[in-house]
Amino acid sequence: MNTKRILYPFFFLVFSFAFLFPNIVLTQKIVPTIVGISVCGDGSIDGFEVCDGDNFGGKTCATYGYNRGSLLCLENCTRISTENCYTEPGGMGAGAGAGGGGYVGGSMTPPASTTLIILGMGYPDSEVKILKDGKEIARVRTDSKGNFSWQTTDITPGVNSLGFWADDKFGLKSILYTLTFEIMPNAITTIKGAYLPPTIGVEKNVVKKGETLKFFGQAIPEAKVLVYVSSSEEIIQETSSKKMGEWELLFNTSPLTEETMHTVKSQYKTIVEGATVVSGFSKFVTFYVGKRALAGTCPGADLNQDGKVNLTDFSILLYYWGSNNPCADQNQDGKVNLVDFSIMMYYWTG
Amino acid sequence: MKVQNPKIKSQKFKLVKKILFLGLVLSFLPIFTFSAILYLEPKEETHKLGDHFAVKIRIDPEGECINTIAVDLSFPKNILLVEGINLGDSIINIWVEKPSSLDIKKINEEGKIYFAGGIPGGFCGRIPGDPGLTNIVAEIRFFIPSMIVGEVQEQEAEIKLLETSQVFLNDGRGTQATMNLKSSKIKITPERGGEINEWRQELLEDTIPPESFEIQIQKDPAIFDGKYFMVFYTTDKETGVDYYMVKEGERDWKVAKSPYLLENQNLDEEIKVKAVDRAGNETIATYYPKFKKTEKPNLTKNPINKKIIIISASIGLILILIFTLIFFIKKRRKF
Repeated sequence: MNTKRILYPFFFLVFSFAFLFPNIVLTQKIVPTIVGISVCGDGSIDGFEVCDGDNFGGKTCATYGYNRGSLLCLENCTRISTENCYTEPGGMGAGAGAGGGGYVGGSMTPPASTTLIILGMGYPDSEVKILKDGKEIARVRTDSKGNFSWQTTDITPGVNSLGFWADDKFGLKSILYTLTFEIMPNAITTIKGAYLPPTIGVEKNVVKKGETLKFFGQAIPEAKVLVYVSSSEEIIQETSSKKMGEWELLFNTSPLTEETMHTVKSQYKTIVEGATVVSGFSKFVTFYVGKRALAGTCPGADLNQDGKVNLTDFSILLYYWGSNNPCADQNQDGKVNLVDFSIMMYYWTG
Repeated sequence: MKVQNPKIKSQKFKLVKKILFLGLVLSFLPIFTFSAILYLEPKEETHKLGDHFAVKIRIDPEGECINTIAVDLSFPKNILLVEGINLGDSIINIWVEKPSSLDIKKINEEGKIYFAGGIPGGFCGRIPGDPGLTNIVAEIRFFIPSMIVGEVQEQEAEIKLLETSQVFLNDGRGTQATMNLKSSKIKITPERGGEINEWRQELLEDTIPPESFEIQIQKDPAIFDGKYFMVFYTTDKETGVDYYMVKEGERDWKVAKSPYLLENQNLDEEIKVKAVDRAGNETIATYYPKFKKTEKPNLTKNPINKKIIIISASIGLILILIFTLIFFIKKRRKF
């Protein structure tokens, strides 16, 4: 009885705390990839910028020990140059006033046109497809470490959706990773941290309970890969990606329910410039534990089976809108509707 | 010493237990409930008769990734009139259904607007450093007619997001997200206003046509009985694409939607698709046939052709006769 008297108020306090401060309890939620935008040319220092136009965050030539001259904002607002700073005998001395009687701040030639720069990571030596508003506009190769960068001036200011996906060395397609943001006119917009989630594949689509199943894919090199298997309770296992980003995990299917379809997805964790980066989730893939094999019609919303999910597939979906076409009806609920459209948006390749 | 009745004691304990259980359930609610917030901006505003104003439909996915949005909105058609719909800043790229300026009359008759579309790869909320809030689904431009000036009382017009609105998660399963809908209340004072028509101003200032695009001619046994159809789509970052028009060969322009079944299945004519934005700016994409439609030679009208054919036929006949004669002569000599 006494124990109950102590325990009940204790639980009440704990759960009330959870009610009042849900964000603290929610810390288990996966933190998405650290992606950031900076606009060079808008005069404000944001994101990973160190200066912007005449704004040097209060720094002057005096900060760097000169008494004359002006600072320069270079390399898309990521570097302050003291090239134009100098010391004049008889000047006001370093640290005095605003740059020792010289110019306050500095100068930067405003960019001539609206520019977009993307800095990201994919799979080593792979080709990243870049989509704008759902349409492929460019392809760029990653280096041996998986880094890629892409720049364009052929972009209209305003709200833009930039999507990225790649085929890995096993021929698996990554999920389409999309970033929607505003591009400012006559400024350089830089997106840093566009990290492609890992790819994932299963060795077999049907396995007997207790059999070992191989999950595999590609991520960025030498990252911790987390694999999530759906079950009555989600099973999370870890592995690491190799130098070329390949990863694999041998999974014992004993804890999984028999004669049931299961799903598996992955994501990676790594440390970039001292910060922990957690990627978004990969596509999910399905496998069946048991004897019965299930075959879906038109899997992955590729309605014309050409290996791509784009406007043509969308057209086919619209053609069958409201009908019960088994191919367009992705979730097999007897009607082609917004649910099937949502599935198509998930698998989109452009 | 006071001894408590055990019955009362047990009842009290049961009550405490119930309260604690309820507290426990309530405490878990915020942990497991994630809902996208579909809201209208401004939440509240006061206007005068004759005023023009905008209401933005915005979405906050609350940390989730969503990919499909369907908005069902109602407004009091006896108080407000829709002047236009701006989709230029919309986060939606692919539209399943969107009202064009050609539908405004119908919208004002019904007092309802419906549109649906998606974002390939999903939308997971604002990116740190983004100079914009970047969560606009659409912007509706309203007008308060001054005809109801006789009404001396203050009125309230509620622009409502209906429960039939839908948001889907970007999870590959088409899971519908739970939603929190927030409507907008417009207070109308019985005074004559007539603010500047910003929408008209925006339309006048929008001189940039929709982005250039390509026409894709497709043929698939799955649709249109395997006949040729075309697919087209573009965006406009200012006021948004309003509608498309198609022109096949010498036929007239007509309003069309993608996918479009081609009238001319021979693909031997030029096809033009015109994307028109809300301000009336146009971008035309052209499909040039691989083989041009060749006119059949008109023999009766062209005397030169007639002569050539007669001469050719005569030469042919003469040659056949010569060869036949040679053949018979050779045969007789053998015997």
